[in-house]
Amino acid sequence: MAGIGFRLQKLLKRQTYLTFLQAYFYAALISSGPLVLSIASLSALGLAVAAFHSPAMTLFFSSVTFIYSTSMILTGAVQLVLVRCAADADYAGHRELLWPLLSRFMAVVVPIQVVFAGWFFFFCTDATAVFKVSCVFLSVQVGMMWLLSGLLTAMKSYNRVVGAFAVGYGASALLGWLFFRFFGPDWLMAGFATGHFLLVIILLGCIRRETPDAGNGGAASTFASAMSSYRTMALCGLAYNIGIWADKFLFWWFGEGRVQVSGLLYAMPLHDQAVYLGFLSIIPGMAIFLLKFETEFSSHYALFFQDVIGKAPLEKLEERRVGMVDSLHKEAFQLVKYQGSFTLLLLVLADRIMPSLGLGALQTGVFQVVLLGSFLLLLFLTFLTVLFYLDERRSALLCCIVFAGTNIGVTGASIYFGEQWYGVGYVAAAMAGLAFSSRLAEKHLEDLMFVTFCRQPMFPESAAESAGRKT
Amino acid sequence: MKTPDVGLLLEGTFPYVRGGVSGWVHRLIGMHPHLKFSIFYLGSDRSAATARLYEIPENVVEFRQAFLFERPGKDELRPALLDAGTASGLAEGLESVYFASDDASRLDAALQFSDWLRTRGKDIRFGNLLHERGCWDVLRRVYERWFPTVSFIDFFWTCRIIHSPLWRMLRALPEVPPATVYHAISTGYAGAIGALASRRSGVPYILSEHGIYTKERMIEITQADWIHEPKGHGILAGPTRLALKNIWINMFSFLGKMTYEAANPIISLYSGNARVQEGFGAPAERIEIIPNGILPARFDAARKKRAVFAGQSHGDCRIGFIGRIVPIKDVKTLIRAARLVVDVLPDVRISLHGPTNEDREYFEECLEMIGELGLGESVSFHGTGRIEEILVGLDLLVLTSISEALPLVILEAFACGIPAVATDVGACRELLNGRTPEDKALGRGGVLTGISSPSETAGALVRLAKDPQLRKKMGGAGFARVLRFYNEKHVMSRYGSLYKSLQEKGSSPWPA
Repeated sequence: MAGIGFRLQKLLKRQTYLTFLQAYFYAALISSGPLVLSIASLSALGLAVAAFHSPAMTLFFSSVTFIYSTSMILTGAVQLVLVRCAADADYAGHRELLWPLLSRFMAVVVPIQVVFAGWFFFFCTDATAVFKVSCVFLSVQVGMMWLLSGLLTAMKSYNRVVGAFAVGYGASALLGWLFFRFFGPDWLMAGFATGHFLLVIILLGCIRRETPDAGNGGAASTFASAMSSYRTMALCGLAYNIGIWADKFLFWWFGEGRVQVSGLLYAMPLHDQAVYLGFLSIIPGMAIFLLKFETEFSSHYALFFQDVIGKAPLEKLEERRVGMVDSLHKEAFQLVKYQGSFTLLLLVLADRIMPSLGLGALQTGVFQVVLLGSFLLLLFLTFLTVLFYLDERRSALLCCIVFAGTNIGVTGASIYFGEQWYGVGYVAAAMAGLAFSSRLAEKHLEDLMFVTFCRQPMFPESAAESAGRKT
Repeated sequence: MKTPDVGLLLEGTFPYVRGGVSGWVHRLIGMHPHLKFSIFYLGSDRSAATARLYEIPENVVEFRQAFLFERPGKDELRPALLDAGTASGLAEGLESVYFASDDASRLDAALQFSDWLRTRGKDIRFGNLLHERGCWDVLRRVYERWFPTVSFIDFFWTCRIIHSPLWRMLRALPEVPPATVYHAISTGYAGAIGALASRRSGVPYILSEHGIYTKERMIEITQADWIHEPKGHGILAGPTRLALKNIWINMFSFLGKMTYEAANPIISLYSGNARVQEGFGAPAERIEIIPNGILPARFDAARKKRAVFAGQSHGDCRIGFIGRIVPIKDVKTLIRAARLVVDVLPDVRISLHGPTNEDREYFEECLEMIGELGLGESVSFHGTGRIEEILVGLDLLVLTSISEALPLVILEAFACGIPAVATDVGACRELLNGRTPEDKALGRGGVLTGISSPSETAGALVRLAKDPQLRKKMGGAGFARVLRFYNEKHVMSRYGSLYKSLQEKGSSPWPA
């Protein structure tokens, strides 16, 4: 996480207009990480597909959405751990370990994706064999894509990630269209999945090029040991992704106005589009978040640790700590100011935008609620990031669990109480996550000195001593 | 089992380390076969204590040990869950020690704290000291009060590292075997745990110091670079380094005070050391002097053989130096003095006996100096040999050391009736001139000279070399002194009677 901020700062230091824009561009893409990227492309895809109004298109779109969302939940846990292990290995100067590390993770993720998607599409949906096989294929590619893009992010190859996604998505769209034209609607998914396959190959190539063959000792962690040493992190990834998707799934399965697309595959086409559009509003805020907040906060964070290691007296360290707190407050306020005004603007304009996209009053309401939720989510992510910086993984997990739990609970209630409450779950979840994360981040920052020194084990290799600590 | 008579508290010496003090402890036990001893040994870590270099005498009925610098066990490192009262008790205990207004109240606070810890048994672990918030607050206040400009990370780690052996020491207290008298052979950790053990069971406590532990640690710390320095972060800046070293020095000095406060009597080898002990806080009225001794009977044969030659000639006196050829012995001053002696008495021969390989460079320089001064005929090196045999061939002993404790070689020369010319360092003055009035009445066993003064040494040597009668007289006085005051049998038996009288009195100087 820290690496991204530092890299962005380096870009900003070049201070030419072009690189400044470039930095914003990266920020917008990386901020979301794969999340915004995927939802952005899903939204774009959804809007494009909506133009056709054909059952085949609806099946295609809901299948893609299902694959993306379930694979995010399934690999969310794994991806965060891989990124963390990769960052550790990179920091320790053992880049050659990334490849074995990745292989071990892929050996677990690929079978999971195959089994899950195979089960779902073959037993729970009703489609042609070509379509089902293509879905399983896509599912494997998407699972790999999360791992690889996460890893490349950890390796700070931001431009490669962006390039690969541009080429990969371009190819997916083109191949999807070509397959559709020449082989028929059943083959649309096959073309789309082939494009993703290309994306995965490119990402693999990028990683291969950046990892030396052999290094000077050191062994990659096994999947099991990595997961167990970062199990809090893994649970965090799981809970966070469940939190992001919980309301969507609940609506698909239980919401009024849901449409059975095929077997267990459901959708709420109009509602979904409103949600995706609302979610896209997060992008400018994310850009500010990464570019300003991450670089500002991370430089204060770096100063603090430089001074700790650089033998500064306590008074100086205390100054640095206060600097971190101030920077957090200042940047959070900036976010509220800019993203807040942007959200406000969209709220006001919603009545005009939505109808022009063919969405009704109910969807406009959903869109507005999601706008508010996304604004809160952004602030939640801000404080969650601070918790990750401070390595307070338990607190981060707590926040993610609160986020997911609230979304499930309140969304469930909203379905019970009727359509006019739809979207409240997402807002409530983001609000609860924000409340917890801000409270905890402030508390841990207040306590930073104690944690930095006193929580350190006297003998770092002693597992027993750190067992009482955090995992 | 009957409670052992004497509980010895040993740190880094007998039976695992060879040396003067270890041999002395071995003989102390051996010369009191009727007393039962228990031993509590404090070492740094187990790896340095694998082989016992001395056999444990049969009258040692109990032997226990603890290793202070060993890494604490897993359980000890994991903080225990403390109730609010215990947690604040721990912090308050530390606070009372560190923020005591003077040494007396600090000592008081430390004793109360150790009592309190004892009542809490294993409830409190070292992990609590490391990770408890209350302890952190105390540490922070100590820093802000006394070290506000010092590198915090180094201060923090120094505190952690310094507390680890102290905690082990407190933890080891219940392990100290019971005894009717405790006897520590140094201050430091062993001295402090002895103080606590004697207080715990209300029994008398004796301290014997050969070297001055606190002073030795001070020198060691001042010269050392073993104060914690995180790897790869450059060297410590001046003030930080000094401050951290002072933390260590103050800690050892406090352990010393704790020992001095508890022990009665405090035994010194000679009055010079006694004054150093006073300087480190030992109450003057409790200090007694019991020197080291030798067994004169061992030199009877050599003395009789010498008597055949002694006192025949005037100018061909055989002068000898016995000791390691190292700078602290200042052999170069002796060589310069030799030049002056030979100028007056060309037939005088000066032989140097002792290992030359300890400081090869210094030895080479000495050889070179002998060549330059044209002393090739008169001054010679002879390496090591049996002390009795060396002494048979000497008429006069010379020492030019710039520092000594109680040089046994003077006693050994005296045992052969050989007088000595020695610099006025360590116990030399009382060995040569006598300490008590009774001792002084025996006469002088030689001549004292100033350090680094070739002319003074030469003057004394010439005077004695020219005068066989004076040599005989002084040698006789020395011999009488050894028999009377430095016979190891008598010296050691003073411990025996000390033990006995304290057992009868049977009370600790400290109210428990």
